[in-house]
Amino acid sequence: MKRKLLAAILCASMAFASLAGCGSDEAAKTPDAPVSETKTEQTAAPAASEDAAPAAEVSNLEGEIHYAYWQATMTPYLEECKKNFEAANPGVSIVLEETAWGEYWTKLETAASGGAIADVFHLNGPNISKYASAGVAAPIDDLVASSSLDLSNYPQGLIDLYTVDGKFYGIPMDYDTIGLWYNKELFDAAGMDYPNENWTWDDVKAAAAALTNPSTGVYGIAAGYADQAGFYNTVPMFGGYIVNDDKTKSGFSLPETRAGIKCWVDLMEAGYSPSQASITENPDYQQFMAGKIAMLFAGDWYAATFVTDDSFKTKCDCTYIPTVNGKRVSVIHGKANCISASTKYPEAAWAWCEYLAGPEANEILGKSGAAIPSHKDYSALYFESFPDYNMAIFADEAQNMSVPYPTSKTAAEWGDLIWNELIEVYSLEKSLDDACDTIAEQMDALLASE
Amino acid sequence: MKTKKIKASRILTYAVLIGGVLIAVFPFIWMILTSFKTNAEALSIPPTIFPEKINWEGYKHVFTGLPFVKIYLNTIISAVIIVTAQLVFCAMSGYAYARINFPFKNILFTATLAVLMVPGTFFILPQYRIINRLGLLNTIPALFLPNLFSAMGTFLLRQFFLSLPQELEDAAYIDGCNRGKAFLKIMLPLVKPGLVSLGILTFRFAWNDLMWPMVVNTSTEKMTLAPALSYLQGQYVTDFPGVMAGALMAVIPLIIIFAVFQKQFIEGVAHTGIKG
Amino acid sequence: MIAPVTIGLIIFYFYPFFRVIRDSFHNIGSFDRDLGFVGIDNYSAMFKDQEMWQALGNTFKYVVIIVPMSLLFALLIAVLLNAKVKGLSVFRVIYFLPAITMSVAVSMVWRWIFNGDYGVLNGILNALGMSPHLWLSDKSTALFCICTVSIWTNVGYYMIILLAGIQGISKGYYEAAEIDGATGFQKFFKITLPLLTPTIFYVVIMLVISTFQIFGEIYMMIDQKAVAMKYTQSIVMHFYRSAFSYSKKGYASAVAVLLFVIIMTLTVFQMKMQKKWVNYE
Repeated sequence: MKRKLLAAILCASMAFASLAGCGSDEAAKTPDAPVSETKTEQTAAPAASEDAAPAAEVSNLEGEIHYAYWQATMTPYLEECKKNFEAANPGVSIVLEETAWGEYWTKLETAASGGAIADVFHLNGPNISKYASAGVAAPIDDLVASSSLDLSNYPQGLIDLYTVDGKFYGIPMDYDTIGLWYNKELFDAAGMDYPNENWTWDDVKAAAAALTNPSTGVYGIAAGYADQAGFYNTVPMFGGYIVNDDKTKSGFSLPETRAGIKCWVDLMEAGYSPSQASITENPDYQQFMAGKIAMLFAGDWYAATFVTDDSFKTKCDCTYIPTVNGKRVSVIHGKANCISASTKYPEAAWAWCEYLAGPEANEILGKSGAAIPSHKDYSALYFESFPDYNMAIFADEAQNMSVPYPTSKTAAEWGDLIWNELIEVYSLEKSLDDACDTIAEQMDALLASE
Repeated sequence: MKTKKIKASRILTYAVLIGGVLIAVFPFIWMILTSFKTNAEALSIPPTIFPEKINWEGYKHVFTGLPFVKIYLNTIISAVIIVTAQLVFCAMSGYAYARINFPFKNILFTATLAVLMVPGTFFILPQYRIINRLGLLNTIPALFLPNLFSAMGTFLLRQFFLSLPQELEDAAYIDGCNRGKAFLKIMLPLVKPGLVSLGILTFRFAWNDLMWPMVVNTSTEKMTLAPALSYLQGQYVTDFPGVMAGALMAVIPLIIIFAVFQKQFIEGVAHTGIKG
Repeated sequence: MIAPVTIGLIIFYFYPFFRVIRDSFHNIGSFDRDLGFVGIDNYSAMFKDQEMWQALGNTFKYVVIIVPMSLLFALLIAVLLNAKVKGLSVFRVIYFLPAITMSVAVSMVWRWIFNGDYGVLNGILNALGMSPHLWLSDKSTALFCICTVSIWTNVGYYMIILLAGIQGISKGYYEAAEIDGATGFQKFFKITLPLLTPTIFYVVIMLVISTFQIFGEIYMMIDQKAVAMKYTQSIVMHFYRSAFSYSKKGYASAVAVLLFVIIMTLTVFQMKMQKKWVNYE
């Protein structure tokens, strides 16, 4: 496994977690504010002290670049990037096209089938192979080679994730890991200690039991179906895997893999979590913010959502994922900017990608608090945006205890398959073993077809 | 005795009717009330009825989240073009099928009727490819192009033309009208109720259609209201006032148009039942 | 004069018609790439697909619930409104309101009303001392919620059509019946209902066809990733998801053909049955 992932990232970021008070709580809403406010103390990120907006040369690139993405909290960051980029490239206009997560992939594929896909778009781990091997996304090896970008600045695990058949398809723009978020108020009310880095899975389970209170409608934990924020982490901790390293075999027939899923289903069965149906109706993070769930496994990116609620933002904090048998693992993932192979303006599209991968855009992203910038020099900025939260754990997990996001060429298909089967298990309508048997069989067939 | 019974049945009649009215109106009222709440109010348990004070946050979110004015315009433009084209084209073909003899008339008419029998969803995949081939994905014409031509409209107007007495037209010819003039001056005004009915049916369809615009136009700039609302709901899962504000703004033009033309609307719909 | 419609129909309807049938025998993969002729593979996959059968079953449930209920309520209100009530035009306008507003927007409001945690329906139930329920996520109630919304939108529209039909019945019949001392009920069952059958027939046909293609309400009210989707999706929804969410367009074409065959059969069946119960004066 790639333990050396993200080597050298964020040594400085550890320190920032204690720099409480220097950031702005409004970070997610008004990205401009922290730019001026947080500039003072940090010295670790070298380019942070450089002046933004080069404005030196004016390019003669032309085109209208449509840019498709799904994460709403990125909009302020992207709008600032758009403004700066358009100022430096007067011939280019950037059209930001945000689509809700639930419809993003359907729309992207529909558009791609008609050759009407956005010029630059976000891809994720499960989908990169599909878009790369179909020739929808264009390889960018040559473009990267002839640019000033140094790929060693980005997490190696993500560079690998976006390399398909030896060709490189997208520069990672951010990365994320998973942590245990908790509602301090609910812990206080129950007179319990907050979760900490020494917690094991059993501690979480015991706390969930103690915090669950049917009379107030409070649940100890959200244990509904989640891959990236759920069993993708616990499966390797129990010693199993989703797909083997050769991408030839699914791990769902292994008892270890099943144990990594069972631990969640146990919580559902015990009634420590809202039912799968309830979580479908009102997403777990929303119930968490409404004070109805005490603990939530969620990625760093939720910080940007939590701080938008003034009455909630001071009530929560985060810590490491709990350990299982002394082992702690978080899956690492990141989105990448990919260029459409059918774009009318390849130069302008690349210039936009290059800009987004560069220092200025990474700095804006970090300060916006929307996601952890993938460029190692700027990740630290992100953590400062949330002085109230123990954000350093996400960097530490990424650096020291991460596993790559499980993927293969048919990842999008087996992702649907796993969801289809396991959702009924989490709904307590199907036995885990039956579901895993089906998944193992069909997933192996898909892997064989690669 | 008898008057008492009549009175009781009167009261019952009004009770049922007013009960029905409440059910018909309640979702609209709830939509309006929620749209002016803060999100915290909307999520309060038990639900509060009135917003503490009028709050415009939800509306602001709609405008920041979507190019709402553009989406309005897209919807209006495409609906108006669809309605106009259908009225013109269907009046022509409806008249021809009702009044003119030409070769292959029966075969063509049967084929047209056959289209009427096929559910609209059936055609979507190839229609999508045609629009794609024409390079029209993510454009306004993509929204209306396949909907300009209607088998249903042709059939409906043919029925209206058939119901007009032949003598009227003959009288026009005696007065020296040619066919075109007779069509425009004599026949067309007489099928006005039919045109109104078709116009309303088509407008309702164009304004409401979800699947087709969602499939051809993926860019928010080129969306119509129905897919835009679905987008809004996906994006603002937890922002109920915003979602309700969007829904309300989408239906208000329809309610205004309806309020102005309610007589025509109701008569137009009533006619579809008689002629269809 | 028929040129515009005919040409338009040929390009956008006749050609697609044959194209769909052809595609249903092809394997069309992601990004709309035709991977060749596969015989009846799509059809055999479809008939083996549990999800398709479930969707078909759901669709029939929709028809069986929505069509009679919409008709019943529409008829009830039309008859009541015909009884010389005061404020007829006001009632008519209000009842028509749900029909004229967008079903997409209306579904959003209902989704909010039905919300398991914050919805007003559960709020009311709670106040009445009843226990709340996850209406849209529970697979046993979700389908009925969608039926409710659909009926709610239908009633006003078809009420207008039925009312026009009732008002079109010649007063002479009623006058004659009154001389014979007929009661209100007798008048309704002996005169109104039989003479209204042509309008009712039209309403039933329209309701069956539109209900069979129910899509927007489901799309707006049930999350694609929700467990309830399987138990609420109609055949059109299944088509949409196969074609666009799972990009199996060959398979989806086979589903479209099935949809066509069913609607065709139903319509022909209704036309045949029509002779048995519809009175033409």
